[in-house]
Formats: sequence, structure tokens, C-alpha cells
Amino acid sequence: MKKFFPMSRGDFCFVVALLVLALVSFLPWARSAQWAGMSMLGWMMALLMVLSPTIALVRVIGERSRSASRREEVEG
Amino acid sequence: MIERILVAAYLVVCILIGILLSRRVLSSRDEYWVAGRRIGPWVNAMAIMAALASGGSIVGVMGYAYEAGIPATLALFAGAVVGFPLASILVARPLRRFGKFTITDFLSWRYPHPIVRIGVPILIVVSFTMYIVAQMKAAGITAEALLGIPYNTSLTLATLVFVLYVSVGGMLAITWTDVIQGTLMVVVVLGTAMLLMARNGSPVEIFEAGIQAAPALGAAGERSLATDLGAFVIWAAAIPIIPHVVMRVYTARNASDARLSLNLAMILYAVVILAAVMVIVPVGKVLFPTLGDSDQIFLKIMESQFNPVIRGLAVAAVLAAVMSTTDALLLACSSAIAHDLVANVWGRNLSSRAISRINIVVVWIVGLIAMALAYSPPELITGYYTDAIGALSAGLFVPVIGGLWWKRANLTGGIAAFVVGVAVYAALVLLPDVPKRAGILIALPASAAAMWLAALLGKTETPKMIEAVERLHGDN
Repeated sequence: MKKFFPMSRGDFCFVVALLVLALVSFLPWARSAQWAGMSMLGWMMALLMVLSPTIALVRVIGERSRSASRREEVEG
Repeated sequence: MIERILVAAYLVVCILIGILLSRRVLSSRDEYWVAGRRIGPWVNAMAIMAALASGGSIVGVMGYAYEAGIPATLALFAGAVVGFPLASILVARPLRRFGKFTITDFLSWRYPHPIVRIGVPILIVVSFTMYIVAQMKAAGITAEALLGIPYNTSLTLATLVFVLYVSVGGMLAITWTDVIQGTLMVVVVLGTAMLLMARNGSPVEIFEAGIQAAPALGAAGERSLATDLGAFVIWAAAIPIIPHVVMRVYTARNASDARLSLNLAMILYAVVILAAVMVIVPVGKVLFPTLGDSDQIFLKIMESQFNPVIRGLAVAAVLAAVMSTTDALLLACSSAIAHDLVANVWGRNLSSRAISRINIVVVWIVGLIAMALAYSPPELITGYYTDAIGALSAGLFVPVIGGLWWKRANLTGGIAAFVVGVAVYAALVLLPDVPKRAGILIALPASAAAMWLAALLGKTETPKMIEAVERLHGDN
């Protein structure tokens, strides 16, 4: 028996990528390094705020359209 | 005068929605707590965004950025944004399929024990009461600064209005008032940012001017790394388990709609926060470099830069932000007491109408207690309510995620994770030498370790329960 309930590969990779990006953002270099007057921590967080919703939304919409086509195939 | 008329009109609309919907929702628990489970993704997204984007997200986010700098603020609010995909992937589908009313329903089913059935609702009520106090401060200082109504009077008026419409209108009233409130928030924050850009130049020019006037705005600052990381983790872990967001998952028509609405909400939320922090705050720092109360920055900008109509809209937007969160928090508190404690623990045979009456009383009691506490408000609201939410993250994240995804999660593991998470977090918050909000960085691993150890020592979970959880995942 596997220890965990299965998660889709795409979801798993997305969660891991988010966590890795977050982790990298909090490494000490990101606090001291600056670009355009703001520490890299700030820029990385802003990037995370833009990227994570956008990618997640694209994934969910893709999933919905795949489900819809599957339903059409079954009904057709 | 115009400001007061605009705000009064807005408040009357909210009350009317509550009263008009009361007849329909008070007859059924499904209608009252989860709006009949038929809210579409766009409406639900706006309602989720409005519920999360509190007074903290308009008044507080700017106050926090003004005080602690932009990187620390983005670290805190990015946590919430990252929490949405986590919620969408980790909990939206299985919890929507579970199909009850509250997060306690799931935890009590997964870990059937009085510690969970009683402890979780109490934790929710305590934590959310603190959250509501912070929202009320935002309402009070806004009405005082922009309408000239004394803090205590405006606090009392605002409390009476939203307690009234939540107590009679339930989730359906909250959903529709949240849609109005969310729209108002987005329009006012983005509109203010655009008007400031029209007067002061492009976002890059505004940002550079702000940084030049106050270099500390862009610096990571003197706070410890643990404080920034702690704030991020508190919110990232809170969104998948925070009751007023989870209840929104239950209101969706199906699991797919729930996921879509969470992700749409996240985009709106990110846009509002980024506009506030990257455009409005730098302008405020140039205009008002030495404010005593940082939470006043948005109000000072509105007062000095805009005409009475825009100021009236701004007050309505801040009240909307406060009310849209507070109403959801009040409903979550009332469900924790009326549904989780009174109905499920003490009296299973109560009718829907009896539960609704208890619920109305609970909303009034919690609202009035929070109002009494808000007469002596906390200094910086964002930090205050983040600490309160940390207790929920520490106590509920591991039992919920473990219960949904780990096949070895069992009763002893769930209880241990809940108790250890809350106890360690509370102890660390009370210790004077621990950096603010860093307690979660120890409490969460401690909760996970407790679950793992207790699960190994306790009885193996029954195949029936494992099959039932498997059904919640469906064809993942």
C-alpha cells in the first residue's frame, strides 16, 4: 500500500515548483542583494504573486476543457 | 456631506440584501451556511477575494508597507497568494466532494474525538474574534479620518450594520454583498493607483521617487529572516484550512468550479495588493514621510489628493473590505458554535429554525465582544491578525492535509498534530525572545512530527476510512 493518496503529476510538480521558488526567495542573498532600489526578496515575492495565480489558472482552465471534451466524446 | 450620503446608501443596500434574503435562508441550513451550494465560479471568485481582502488588505497592507517596507509586506501577502493554489490542489476537490458545511465537519469525521469536535471550533472563534477586532479598527479609523465621525461612534455603527445583515441573511447575503464589496474594493484601489499615476508619472517613476525619498521602503530591513518567512508560511498554510475560505469551497456547484473560483480570486487579490504596495504607498511615503500611525497612510492620501465623491467611495471601499471579511468571519464563528458545537456536540435533534435562531444570537454576541475589544485597538492591524491566523495554521494545517493525503493518518495522529501545533505556537508567541511570527516555523514541523509519531504509536486506520478518503479524491 502506498503511503499517500495519488496526486496528478502536474499538480505535484506545480506545488514543488512553488515551494522551491518560495524557498529560494527567502535565502539570505535575496535580502541583501538589491535591484532598482528594492531587495530581491521583494522582487521575488512580486514575481511569485504574478506567476502562481497565472499558471494555476491556466492549468485549471486546461483541465476543465479536457474534461469537457472527454464528456463530449462519451456522449457523442 | 456627499461622503456621508454615499456611505449611508451603501450601508442601506447591504442591510436590505440581508433582510430580503432572510426568509429564504433561515429555513434551511444548506441555504444559510453554504448558499444552497449553487454559486457560480465568477461570483464565488469575487466573494472569496472580498472575504480575504480585508480592511487589512486596504488600510493594513499600506500601513504595513509604510512601516516595515515593501519586501516584508509582499512576503506576508504573497503567502496568501501562494496559499490559493495549495488550497486549489490540496483541499478544494476532496472537501467539495465531502460536501458538508465547515472545516470542523471534516476534521470531526476524520478524527472523531471530543478534543477535535470541541477544540477546533473554540480555536476558530478565539482566532477569528481577534481577526474581527483588527477589521473593526480599520472601519473606525477610516470613518473618523474621512467622515469626521468619532472612532467609537463609527465603530459601533459599522458593527451594528454588518451584524444585522449577517445574522439574518447568512451565506447568500454575504455572497451578494461580497460581490458588491469586492467590486468596490477593486475599483477604488486600482482607480486610486491610476489617478496617482496620471498625476505623478508611470509606476516606475512613482516607485523610484518613493525609494529615493525613503530607501528603507525597498530594503528587507532589520527584522529577522524568521519574521518574514513566518508571515509567509502563516498565510500560505492558512488559506487551505481557514474556515471562511473553506466554506466558500462548499458553496461552489462542484469541485471544478471551486478550483476555478479559488484561482480567479487569487489573481484579483494579487492585482489589488501589488497596486496598493507598488504605487499608492510610494506616493504616500513622498507626501507623508513621518506618520505616527502607519495605518493612516491611505486615508491621508485620500484626504489630501481627492475630492469628496472619491473620498466617499474610498470610505465605502474600506468599509466594504472590512465588512466583506468580517461578515465571513462572523458566519464562520457562528457556524463553529451553532453548527459544530451546539448541533453536532450537544444536541443533534435541533430543527433548522432553532439552529438559525442560535446562529443569530451567536453572531450578535461575537460581534459585540469584538466591538468591545476594538474600543482599545491594536497598534498595527496586519501584524495583529496575522498572529491570530497563525494559531489556526499551526493547529489545523497538518491534521487537514495529513487527513486528506496521508493514508497512515489516524485518530491519535490527528489529535496529536492539532494539540501540539496550537500549544507550541501559543508558547512561542508568548515567549519574549522569539521573533514575531517566527513561532509558526517551529509549530508546523512540531505538529507534523507529532502526527507522524502518534500515528505510528496509535491504532492503524480502518480500511473503511481509507476507502472513504480515497473516494473524496476520485480520479485524481
